[in-house]
Amino acid sequence: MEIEERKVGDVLVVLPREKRIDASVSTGFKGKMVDWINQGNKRIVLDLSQVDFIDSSGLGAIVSSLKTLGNDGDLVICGVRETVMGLFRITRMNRVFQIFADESEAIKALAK
Amino acid sequence: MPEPPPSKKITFLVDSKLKNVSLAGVAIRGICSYLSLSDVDAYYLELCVVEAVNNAIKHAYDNEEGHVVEVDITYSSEEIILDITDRGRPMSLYQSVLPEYDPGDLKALPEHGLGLYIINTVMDRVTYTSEGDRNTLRMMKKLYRS
Repeated sequence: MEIEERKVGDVLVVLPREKRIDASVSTGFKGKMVDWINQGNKRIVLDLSQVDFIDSSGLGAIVSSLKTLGNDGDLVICGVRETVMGLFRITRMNRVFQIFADESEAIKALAK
Repeated sequence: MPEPPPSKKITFLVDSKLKNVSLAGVAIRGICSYLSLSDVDAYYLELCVVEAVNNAIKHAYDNEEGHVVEVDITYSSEEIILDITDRGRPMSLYQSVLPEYDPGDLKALPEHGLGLYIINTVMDRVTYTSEGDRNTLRMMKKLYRS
């Protein structure tokens, strides 16, 4: 799975460059997120603007990343398409994650 | 008694590899587009098919390649019926309730087992039958065109 990552200050911005985060790639995605967290990245923006499909395995990988980060860090999400937002709503994960319209808003929120 | 509206049907077979499931998703998305469903409804139906095929591969076939998952899509002007059939180990439909969790309690957040909950939430009716060596998850949804 192709994922772009870059630092903006002390925030890690993670941008999956795939249309789908599903069961076939969720393990690899989770592994990369855990690696970045273990390297000391505690504040992460996950930019989903290029993703048009997430299934429950993909969502589980995002939740797992948040759990790995624990209470010492923060993982926020931006760029969620209206369709994908439906998945967050029906699983009530929209109450768990802070979700922002775009990357700059998400970075600003983490900087507070 | 009025006759049911005429229906159309397509069947396709998915080899039991998770990498192939996106093809089933794209197929259902195309049919939803043909039926002029909204983007959100199309996403939900694609999601249900993907979850059901994933479950068949993971649980009925234990992620073993070389088996077949059959996807039958039947639709009329009033409803769409999605039948997902495997010939593996039968499953139960019991884990279809989203556990109550505190959004602030990280440890309690569910990471697995959301597929059946999603299917039961999105679809109007869901049944599961095992007859002979065929297990079929039937998902039905009333259609409201955009």
